[in-house]
Amino acid sequence: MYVYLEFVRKSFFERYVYRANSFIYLAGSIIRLMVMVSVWKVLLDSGISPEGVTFVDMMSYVIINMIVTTLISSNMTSRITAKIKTGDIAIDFIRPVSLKYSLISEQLGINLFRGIFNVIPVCLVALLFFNLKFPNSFLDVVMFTISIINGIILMFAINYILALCSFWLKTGKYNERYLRTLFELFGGTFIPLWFYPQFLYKLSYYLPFRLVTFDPISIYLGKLSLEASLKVITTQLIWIVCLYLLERYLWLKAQNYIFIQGG
Amino acid sequence: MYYFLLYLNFIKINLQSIFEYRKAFWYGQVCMITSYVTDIALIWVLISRFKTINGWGPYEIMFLYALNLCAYSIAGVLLRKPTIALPSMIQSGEFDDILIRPLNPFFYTITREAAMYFSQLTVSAVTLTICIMKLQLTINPASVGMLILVIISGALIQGAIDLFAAIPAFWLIKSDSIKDLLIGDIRSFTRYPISIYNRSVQVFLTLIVPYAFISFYPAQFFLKKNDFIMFHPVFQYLTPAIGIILIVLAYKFWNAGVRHYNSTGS
Amino acid sequence: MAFIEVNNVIKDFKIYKKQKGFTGSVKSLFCSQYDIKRAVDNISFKIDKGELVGYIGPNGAGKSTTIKMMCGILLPTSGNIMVNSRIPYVNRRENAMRMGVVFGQRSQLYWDLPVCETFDLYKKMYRIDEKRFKQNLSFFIELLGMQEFLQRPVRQLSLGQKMRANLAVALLHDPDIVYLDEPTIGLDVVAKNRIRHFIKEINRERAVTLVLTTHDMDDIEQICDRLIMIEKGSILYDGSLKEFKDKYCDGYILTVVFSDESARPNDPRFKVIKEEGPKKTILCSREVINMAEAVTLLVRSHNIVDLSIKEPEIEEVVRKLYEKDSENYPSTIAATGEND
Repeated sequence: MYVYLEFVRKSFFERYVYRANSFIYLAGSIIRLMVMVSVWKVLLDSGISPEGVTFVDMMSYVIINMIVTTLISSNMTSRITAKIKTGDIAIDFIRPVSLKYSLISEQLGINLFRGIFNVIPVCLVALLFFNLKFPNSFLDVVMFTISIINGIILMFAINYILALCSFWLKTGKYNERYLRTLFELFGGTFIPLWFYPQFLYKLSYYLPFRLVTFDPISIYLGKLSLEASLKVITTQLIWIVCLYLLERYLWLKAQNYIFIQGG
Repeated sequence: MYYFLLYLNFIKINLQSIFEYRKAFWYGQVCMITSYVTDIALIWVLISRFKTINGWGPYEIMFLYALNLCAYSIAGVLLRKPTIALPSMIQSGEFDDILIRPLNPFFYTITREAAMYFSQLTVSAVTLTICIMKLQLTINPASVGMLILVIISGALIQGAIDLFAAIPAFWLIKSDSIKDLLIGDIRSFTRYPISIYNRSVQVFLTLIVPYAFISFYPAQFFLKKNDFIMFHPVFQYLTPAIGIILIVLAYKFWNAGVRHYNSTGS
Repeated sequence: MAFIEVNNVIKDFKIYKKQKGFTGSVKSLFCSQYDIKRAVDNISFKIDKGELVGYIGPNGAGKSTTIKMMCGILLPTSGNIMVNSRIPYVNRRENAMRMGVVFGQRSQLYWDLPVCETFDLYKKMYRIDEKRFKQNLSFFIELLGMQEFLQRPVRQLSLGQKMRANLAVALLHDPDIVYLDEPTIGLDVVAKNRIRHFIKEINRERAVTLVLTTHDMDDIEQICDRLIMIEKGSILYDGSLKEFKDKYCDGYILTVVFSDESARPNDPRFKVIKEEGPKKTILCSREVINMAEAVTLLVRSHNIVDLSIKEPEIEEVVRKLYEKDSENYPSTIAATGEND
């Protein structure tokens, strides 16, 4: 169990060595924030949109989105593909640690580093310069916290399943990009789903992506009633369980594949 | 002249090796096309929902985006890979391989690493065509000529910026974050008309890192707009001049970098 | 004037001192502190056309720095270098046209294309005449046995095949001078021999000047006439290989099996350094007694069952030279029986 904590630590410190670069990355994040702010300011000039979204809503949306996408970012697929190519993957099968958890903890280390050195400063900047909205009730806060944690777990599950698939599909980086595009489209990371045309909005209900950031943020902004929030959380849990089963199945198949192919 | 053909040969060879991996090539192309089309679709969705952004309608914004992407992809053919590869080439000593050849190191480096950004080019070309039709822009030899000129000069500007991001590798050890900043983050400003940003950003994008000359100012010409904010209307014609000046500066900067490499090694 | 002249060349590098902590990194933006490391300290040598020179030294001695300056990649801090009446770091391109380089650890071949296409490319790069190109190519194909893999993409070749192709590429344009950096590294014995044979052939047939840097002393033994040894930026030795062995490898070893276990040579000129029953390992110095005399003496005074002579290997000698202090070379270094 503590081994995985070590992985987190290791990944974190590997990035820490190059922390000078973080200042430049921070500047980059602030620039992207500026772009979003300028765009939404101009668009929501009139005050409140027909969907009931204000500029302050959007600011909070953008910030929380930034936090979550940093925490769920993943290059697990590329890493696995690289290991398969070089043959290093054999080492991972010999080691007495679970491939799944070692991969995930390493990713967590990376994301935590970015979280601390990148996201927190950006949030501080945002707090200083803009009015951000905070949840209306304590219940909302609780619901939000639960749903965001679920969302993160959910996304990690999806990313891990994709990583597993690289045993069959050869190209890693393109698959990652496909997933990111899908996530951007159906998770509302660029434009909130409130503004989507009808057919896309309906489609987004069949996919798990909206459950990762969009729905939790809706809870935060008080746009969902108590029942709706509970429904979101339940749906998240159902998806997590299904994905877990899928992942176990894929893992078995992957092991068979390796032992036949020789890695 | 002989050398020009030789450099073309290098490019051809690189493309040949890329096409060798047919399946992976097409899979990647489809992926990239999907990604860019989604990008454009999202912007289009956003702007058509809100009708305009600072007076720019959805097709006009797409026009901006397509101009940008076109210049970016043309610049990328020669300059994307060297920009990414230069730091590691210098670190590993691979750059020595370039210096032992009887060729100009600049041209050899960029043609050696040439690549084809097929997906970007198609997406931008198709989008441009759609926009031109929907916006009913005048099509005559003059405007077509101007468009080609603007795209090529835009590519020069983008290429020069790429080079300015990569050349510090001759002096610094880990410089890829600068590249990410210049080419990734700052470039994201150009998705929208720069009139939506505050003054200092506009000045920055015009005079310091002149991304605005790639799409924003030329777009004024084509779309018959008058959105010059604080700058003079003549700016819409300046793109070719800026392109040439920048690329010459970048070349001089490159030479300075190589001279530094000559005295300090790797 | 000699073909290659290196005159009083000094090369200094600035090593920037990393300052600790955050304030340190900020300070270093404005005033960096550095040490000066002298990689090459006033070295001079001359190489004539057609020589086959081995250039050796421990890692960090200044070998690759010198070679880089001779190739035109690096500028000397002071002193000058002339290769075939050209200054390599000033007339870089002209010099490059007449020069060939082989890197043992890096390949100059195009990864995805068949070998023959790489040759075509270099033909264009060096503006080789079509007729000459065909001549050279068939010569190398035969000498290096490349016919079997000419059409195969480079990524499918073995290390030995790649090295052969690399050698051919370096020589296609009839260079006057070829620098070989670790050409036999990682190769099996057969491949190594083949490469060494090829290098000697080329040198003989075409009077190509060759400078070889290597850590494999067998390469030197088998190929080079002349040896230049560099350590800590200065030249330790510059002369023929034979003289080197004579000068530094003075001792030799006689391994004698006596019929009588207790028998041992009495003469003080014989030093017994190891005893395994009747088999005794004896060290002698050439200065003191030559081999023929030593053997005759032993055979005459004792009953001998078996006798073998071992000449010192330069590997041993070189190792000892590397290990010694720079001010303190012994005039004789005997090969001991340690490696038996």
